[in-house]
Amino acid sequence: MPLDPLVHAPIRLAVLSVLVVNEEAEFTFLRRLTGATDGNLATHLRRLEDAGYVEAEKRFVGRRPQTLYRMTARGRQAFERYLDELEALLPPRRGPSGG
Amino acid sequence: MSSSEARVEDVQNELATIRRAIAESRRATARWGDAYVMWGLLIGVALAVQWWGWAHGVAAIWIVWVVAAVAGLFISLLLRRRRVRGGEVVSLASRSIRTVWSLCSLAIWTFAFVGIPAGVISQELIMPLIAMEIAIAAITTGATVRSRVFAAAGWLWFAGSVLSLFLPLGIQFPVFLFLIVAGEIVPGLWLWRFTRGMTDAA
Repeated sequence: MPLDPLVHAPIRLAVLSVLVVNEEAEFTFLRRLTGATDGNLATHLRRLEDAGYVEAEKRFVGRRPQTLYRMTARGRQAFERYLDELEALLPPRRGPSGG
Repeated sequence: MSSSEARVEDVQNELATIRRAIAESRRATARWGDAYVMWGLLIGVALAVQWWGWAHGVAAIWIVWVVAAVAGLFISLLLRRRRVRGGEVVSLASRSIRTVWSLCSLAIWTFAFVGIPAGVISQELIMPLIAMEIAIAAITTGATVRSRVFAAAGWLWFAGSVLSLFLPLGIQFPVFLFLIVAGEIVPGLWLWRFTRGMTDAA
């Protein structure tokens, strides 16, 4: 089974990995984490939003605009499915008896 | 390299990306060691000043706590502003910890600025009460982030609180100063060191 191409790209995978264990993350943090440019990261996030994997919330903290991202239930399912697919690609683990 | 070996290597790279992203976000949600150390130093200094004032019979020495509370709030806001400059990540654990410490601070300042002036809390009872509040917050933090350092600090505060109930005010001061260093500044420095490893441009 082919890996979900929406999750498979390194930047999108890093973003989803953060969002799966956290409630929300700011765009600035995701940019720092991935090392991507604003435009590049925005494109990846838009693809995840379009797929319904993440949702964005724009707000102001004082005068500073802030965009927060959260994972949706659909995104969580897709990420878990992706992990299962990755696991299936690895050779089976040998038991203590070696068999 | 065979195609299956290459595929395993690819999978391992994917897993490494996932692990790294999770680790970085965990460090980012735990970046409050500086606030812990700051409050420890501030309370330690205020306590030392009050100890001196109490020993020399200075009646208005309690004003040091008002100064400490205002200065602490101001510095906390500055530290938070600096912390979120690199982007904020919020987890259930970080939100719980922030809430428990905020409520702990609110309870402490209520005891100190309402309970004592109203005459319902004695001078001898305030330090055991504060120590118990901090114990609850630190033990909760330790359990939430599975940190033995914070759990140990919390139980140290708990023991200090119980012990202080039986100590005269003059002895409570050095006990509380010891608790501030061992149960607040040391865990704060540990956390600071842990989160310092986060790269600025991962």
